Amino acid sequence: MPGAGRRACRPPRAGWGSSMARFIVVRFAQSLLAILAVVFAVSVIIRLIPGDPVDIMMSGNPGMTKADREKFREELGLTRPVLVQFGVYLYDGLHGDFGESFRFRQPTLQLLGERLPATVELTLFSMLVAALISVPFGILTALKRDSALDFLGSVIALLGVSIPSFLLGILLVLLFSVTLHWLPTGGRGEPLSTAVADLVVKRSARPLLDSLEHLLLPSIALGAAVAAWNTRLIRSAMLEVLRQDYIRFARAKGLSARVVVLKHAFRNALIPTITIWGLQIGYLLGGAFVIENVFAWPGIGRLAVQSVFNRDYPLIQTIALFTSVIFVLASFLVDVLYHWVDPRIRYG
Amino acid sequence: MRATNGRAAAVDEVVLDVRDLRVQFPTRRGLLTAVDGVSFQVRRGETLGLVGESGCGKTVTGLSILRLVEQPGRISGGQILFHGEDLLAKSEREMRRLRGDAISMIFQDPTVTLNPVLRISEQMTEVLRYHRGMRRSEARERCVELLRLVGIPNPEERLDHYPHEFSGGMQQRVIIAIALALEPALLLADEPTTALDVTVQAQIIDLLKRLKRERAGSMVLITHDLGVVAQLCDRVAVMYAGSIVEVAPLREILEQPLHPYTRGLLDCVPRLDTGGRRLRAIPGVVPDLVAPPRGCRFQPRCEAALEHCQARRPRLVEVAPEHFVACYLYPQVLAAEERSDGVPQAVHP
Amino acid sequence: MAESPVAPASTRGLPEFAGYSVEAEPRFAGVRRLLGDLWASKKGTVGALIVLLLLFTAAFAPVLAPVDPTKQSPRDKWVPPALTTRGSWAHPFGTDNLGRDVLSRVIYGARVSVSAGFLVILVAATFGSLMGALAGYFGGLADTLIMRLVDFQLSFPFVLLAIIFMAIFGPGFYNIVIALAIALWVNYARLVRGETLKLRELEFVQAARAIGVPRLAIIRRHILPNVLPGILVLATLDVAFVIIYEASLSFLGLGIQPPTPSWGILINEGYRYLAEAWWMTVFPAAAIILTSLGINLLGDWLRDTIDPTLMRTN
Repeated sequence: MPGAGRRACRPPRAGWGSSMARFIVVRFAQSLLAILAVVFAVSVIIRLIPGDPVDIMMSGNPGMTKADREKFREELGLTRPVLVQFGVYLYDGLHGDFGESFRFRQPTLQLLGERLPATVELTLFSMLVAALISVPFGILTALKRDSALDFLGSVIALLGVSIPSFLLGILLVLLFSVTLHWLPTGGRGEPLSTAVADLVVKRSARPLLDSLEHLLLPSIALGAAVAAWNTRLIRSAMLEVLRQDYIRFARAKGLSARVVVLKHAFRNALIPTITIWGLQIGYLLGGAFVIENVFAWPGIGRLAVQSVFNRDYPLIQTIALFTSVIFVLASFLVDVLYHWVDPRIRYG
Repeated sequence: MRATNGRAAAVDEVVLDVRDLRVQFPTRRGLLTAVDGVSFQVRRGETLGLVGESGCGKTVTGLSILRLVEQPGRISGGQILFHGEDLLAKSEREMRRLRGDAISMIFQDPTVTLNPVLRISEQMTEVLRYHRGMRRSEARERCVELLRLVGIPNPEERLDHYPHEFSGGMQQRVIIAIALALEPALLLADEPTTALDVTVQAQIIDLLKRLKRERAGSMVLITHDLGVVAQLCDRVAVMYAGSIVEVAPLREILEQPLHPYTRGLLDCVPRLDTGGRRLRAIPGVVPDLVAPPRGCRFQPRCEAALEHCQARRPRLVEVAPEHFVACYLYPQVLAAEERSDGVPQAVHP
Repeated sequence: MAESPVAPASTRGLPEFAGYSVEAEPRFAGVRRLLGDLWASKKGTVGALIVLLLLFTAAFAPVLAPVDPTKQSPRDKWVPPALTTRGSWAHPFGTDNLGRDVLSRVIYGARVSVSAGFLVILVAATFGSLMGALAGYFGGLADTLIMRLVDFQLSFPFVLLAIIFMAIFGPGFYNIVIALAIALWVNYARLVRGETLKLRELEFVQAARAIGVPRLAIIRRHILPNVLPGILVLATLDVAFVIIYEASLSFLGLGIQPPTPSWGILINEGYRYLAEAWWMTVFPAAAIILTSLGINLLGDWLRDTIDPTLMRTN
């Protein structure tokens, strides 16, 4: 008498799903390949740039003869074929040596180490700010569809995508720093991680305040467009989900509105939202490059621009490498998260 | 104990009393009246079939009982008495307490009725925890019992699975288990077998038959499938274009249908024992519920229509013991109208 | 006695875009209807008006600008805009640090933005659509190659790409156009590929194949007209994107070089003097914001009208 459908006789599933483990491995390998491809492309392209790094570096130094420059070039390994240079770079990289900046005469890893965390901090915090705004507003505007709040939400969303982030940053600086003097015009405060540690361990809130004070304007500027976009995104995902029969059934069970919306509806709306978040990290990372210039934020944005103008090959390569690593890693994590959140894929 | 005389059943026997229910939806073309003056009763322990073709308003009627009709639809008139209390007068909070507990509803397509991202254990235990305040462990045990009751093998293990790991028939069983978890006095079943394969349909019908025997509760079975009705229902109410046209015990509906529409429906069912006969259909199409015809709604398609049928809408009148019909072909209907002209009469089919 | 059946669902739509005509209609009836819809929609009308204003300003810049935008006048350094104290209507938007009239510079900046927008979209949409159509229609190796390229490019933060590109080829207007076109073609490719895949399987295309219509002709006559609405929506929204990104790149110093006034450059120059002369920054900023607002409104309306299910969350 019990149903004998095919799926009722399915074999017991393997824990978290061996399909999941397989997926992770495959995806990871793909990510590695992608990173390699990017770095290769960058190193090739960068060498297409007209203008020789040595010439540029030595442009203020008339004492150098042509022979000297040749010798310098050889020292820097510029005379070898591109593939070889790339290979050497990779090999050394595996040993932790990512080359030395032509311009700054310091290991690129060190330069990056000084500045990359600042960029990462800005990017992640902007993502957080965007999420903190978009999730509640997205849900609310879906629930109160066509209300005044919804209209306001769509107006703000429209503004959010129409104002370029650097402009928003400038206007925010104009208002809050230059006119009101509430917040600093730029620079970075305490690193967020140490500030939080200070709060927990030493019970001191000052570093955290300093940190946030400096983070606030740049992350709002950077995250506003994303917040606006995501609010609409979550709204339409929620609207789509709320139409479904399983929501009707949840209501028919007599569950409270809060449970229905948060536990039943939002969990489903999260699925398409997460994929978009992954794509946005790339956007935010790129946007950080520009915002850093507005707020004099000590990240790799400025470094990147400078290194291109200086034809600083090792530095650019390393920047490209680590930027892509971050980006690919983020997409990878998001992909894994997406698979984890949707059980149909996990145990499909 | 069911009333067998012609009068309405004694008050304490009636679980659900729908009176003159009216539900409307504003559309671009105008106000659509999906349910127009529907009245019926459900008695304790009985299964009432609400039958009609797609679009006749039967699902909306079911949803109205639990006040689950979604915006912009509105219940614009009538009363729904559950154990004597008008559900339409209750607050949303009071309704929430009733839903899933005293009155449950199950829907048509089981594959979309269960939340795909939550485990079955979560979706089942939440009714118990929410309405009865049970602890998780206690609720879990009860759910295992319930799954066993509806015929799910290996319930302890399967409780932790996700909906997509069950077949359609299994899912419907789970849904039935959820709906019956708190032993509701009334179960509303909206086309519970329509989305399933024929063999699985038979299994679910068997399950429902067994549960009916074992339970004390009542059920309203909403369907267009007369075959299902024949197997499960005690009484049948036939709906057409937003109103009820005939109500009678199962036997009488099948053997002595009075309303031309009911007759037409039964005629449409293909039969094996009268081989070679042409399949019949009811000519015409359903009326536009934004601007329905004056008079009887079925009249444009009715072979036996009289002139009076275009003038006024017939009301449901008891023309035989326990057999109500809304059709001027029966003189009692016209007589009742003339008697009470202007004064709306309460009908208790 | 039978009642007439319920009227069939409206057959509104845009026959030109459906590939088939449902009924013979007077020419441009679809366009007229579209314009009617536009007028009826508040957001569409506002957007269209702003866009028209932009186009008008760009086209008639020499006539509209009161003064030569590059004319320097050290005497008139940092004159505030009209309506403030010490301001005058001789310079409604004030002057910059070199005494140049901000209003004229903003007006001429419209030219740069509009031409950049058009060119970029033209190149990106054409190239992207072609690639997408080829990938979708021929499938196999072409599809794999093209899509790998698309994926690869998408895995690269645009700004980094643009920076490197501008460094190779130097700053300048046409180089920005190419850099942005490179960034944008992928979206058209994906869109067109998706549509092509769907349409390829439809019967009327298979029928055309069966009677021997050459494949390119099929692409041109059957697939492209169906893809056009989607492309149009994407293009409209992309123009705003181009304007914003051109401004960003110019702000970084990687874009259009002075003395050509682009809005991004104006902001770059103004930012240094934010405290002393806020109007140097605020007016070009307002121009950018207003323009992209208008374009987004129009694009939104367009998307709602042509196909509400199209890329709702993209």
